[in-house]
Amino acid sequence: MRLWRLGREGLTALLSNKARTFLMALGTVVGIGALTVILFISAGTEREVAKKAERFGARAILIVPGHGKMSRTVGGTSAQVKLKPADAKAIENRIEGLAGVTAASSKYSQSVKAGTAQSKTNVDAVEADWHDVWDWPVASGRPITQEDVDQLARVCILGTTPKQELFGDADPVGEKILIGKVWFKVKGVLASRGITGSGHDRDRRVIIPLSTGMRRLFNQQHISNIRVKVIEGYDLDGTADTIEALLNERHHIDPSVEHFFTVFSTNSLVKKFKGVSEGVSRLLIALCGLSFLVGGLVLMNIMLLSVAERQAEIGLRRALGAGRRDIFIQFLAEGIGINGVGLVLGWFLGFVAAWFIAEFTKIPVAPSGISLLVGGAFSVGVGLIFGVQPARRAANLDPVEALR
Amino acid sequence: MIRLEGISKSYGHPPQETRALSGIDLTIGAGEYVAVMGPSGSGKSTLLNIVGCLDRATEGRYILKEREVSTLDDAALSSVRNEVLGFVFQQFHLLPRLNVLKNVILPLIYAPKYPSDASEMGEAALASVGIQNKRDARPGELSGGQQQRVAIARALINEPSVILADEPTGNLDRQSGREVLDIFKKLNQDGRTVIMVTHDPEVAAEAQRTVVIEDGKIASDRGFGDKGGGS
Repeated sequence: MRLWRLGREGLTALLSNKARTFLMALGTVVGIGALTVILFISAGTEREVAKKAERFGARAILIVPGHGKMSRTVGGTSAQVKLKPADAKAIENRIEGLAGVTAASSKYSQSVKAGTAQSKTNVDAVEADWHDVWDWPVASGRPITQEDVDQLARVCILGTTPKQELFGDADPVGEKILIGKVWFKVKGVLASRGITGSGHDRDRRVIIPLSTGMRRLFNQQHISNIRVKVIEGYDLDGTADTIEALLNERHHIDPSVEHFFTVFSTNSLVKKFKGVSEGVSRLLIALCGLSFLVGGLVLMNIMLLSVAERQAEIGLRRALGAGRRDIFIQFLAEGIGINGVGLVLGWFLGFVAAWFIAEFTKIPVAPSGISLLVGGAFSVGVGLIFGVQPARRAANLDPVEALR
Repeated sequence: MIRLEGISKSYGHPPQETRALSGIDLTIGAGEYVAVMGPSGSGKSTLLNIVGCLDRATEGRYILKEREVSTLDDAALSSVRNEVLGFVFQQFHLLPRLNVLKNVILPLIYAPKYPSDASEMGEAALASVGIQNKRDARPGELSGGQQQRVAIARALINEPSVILADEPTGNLDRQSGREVLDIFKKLNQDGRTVIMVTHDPEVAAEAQRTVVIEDGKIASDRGFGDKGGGS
């Protein structure tokens, strides 16, 4: 095919001057490298966010007291506000569009024993709908029931970590364990949720009925958090704002002065998370655009020089039967070919940079097949746009002048 | 083979117009060997460029192989150069980054159909000018005479009917020039039309016919219609 033969003529010229080819490709190399990193980060963020959202629950809101600004004192007195079970009831009764509301009271690092084996674990005192609202079923045995809560039953469900530490591979259901000074009967084992990105073992927990925990074990009136599940179709952020307003009202808090509750929604987590990688990406997009522009201009100018330098060659080819179009195609192929070289080197640079980012920073990185396509399109595009001018100049040379 | 009727060539626009050729009528038959002579600036190179379809006349008609070429577009003219004409230049014009064989088969890229036996054709062309043993060398490794022979092989690769040579011996020593002229003579004996621009009377003496151009006009045309005879 004539087009292929002409294209190959352009490409052989590249190989004859490798240093010049590399110089011309440099802008594309950096541009494609940056582009690849951007797309890898974007893919990594996407994946991480999906993972986070899945772990947190896709349509969930979590309310915890204070957090960060919790211990701030107002007017000289400590203004710590405590969540009450009544707050959870108020949310349930007054906010629309909720699939579930569940309160929990938690203590960290409680010592639990079974015979001679012992373990340190979180203890969460929960309501019966905890399993549903947290999307956290049991793997074996039975969950906490409404009856357990009503009767202040001394029953517990083990997370897989304390289960392993207390009973090994044996079935714990029906056994008794000691939490603090109270005996609990094991009724089930929670499904495993693994370790979070920050190294927190989510399976290191034992759950007991809320009433039992508050009155028999912790002896306290407040709760640690309220988790809300929002019905599909209701605005998550709007609902979170309404809940915050309701709680402020109940606790007489002026939100312009102080925040006593932190209301996390899936969206707010995702936003915070995406913020970091978007900052990095924006920087890289600027770098990427700049290097394509600079690279394109360098390409164009060196090619214009090379057209002047190769006048005799162009004249000769015209004499041997090359039409204007043939010369145009040859030089355009050269421009695109240079960017093809830049593309391959740029991918390599991008992979290496992405590897460094993955290895030495917390920015999530994931390989993305799209980056190959997008990079290819960009480099061919830059080659086309900036190669046209030199190719046209080469094609329009007067062969008689060129041969002189 | 070649018929020029009232060919004129001028550059620039009327007030500062310069006329390189004015009213050239010239007919060259198939198989002729014609030398074109004249002082520098006489218009002989312009004439060769027009005959070679590298340049267009401002006025007049040019018929090549029974075909009017003065009206053809760039693509069609390029095909004519590729298929009907073979060029040999004073400066050889070989591409230094290609080896000898690749230089020789370069015109085939622009042929309507690329032959599958291009390398064999290239080797045959090299053999016909007696340097088949240099096929892998780079042009820079060859003497001037050898380079010009490579250039002649390149001109022959598409089996052209007409060979156009512009001072082909101008950059060669006497001995090499002699050898190159012998090749042209042989090509002509094989039936090819050869048109050679030169300012050297000794070289021109090789041709059967000598056309002298002065001030853009034909000053003399010796040996015309006298195919057998020489001067």
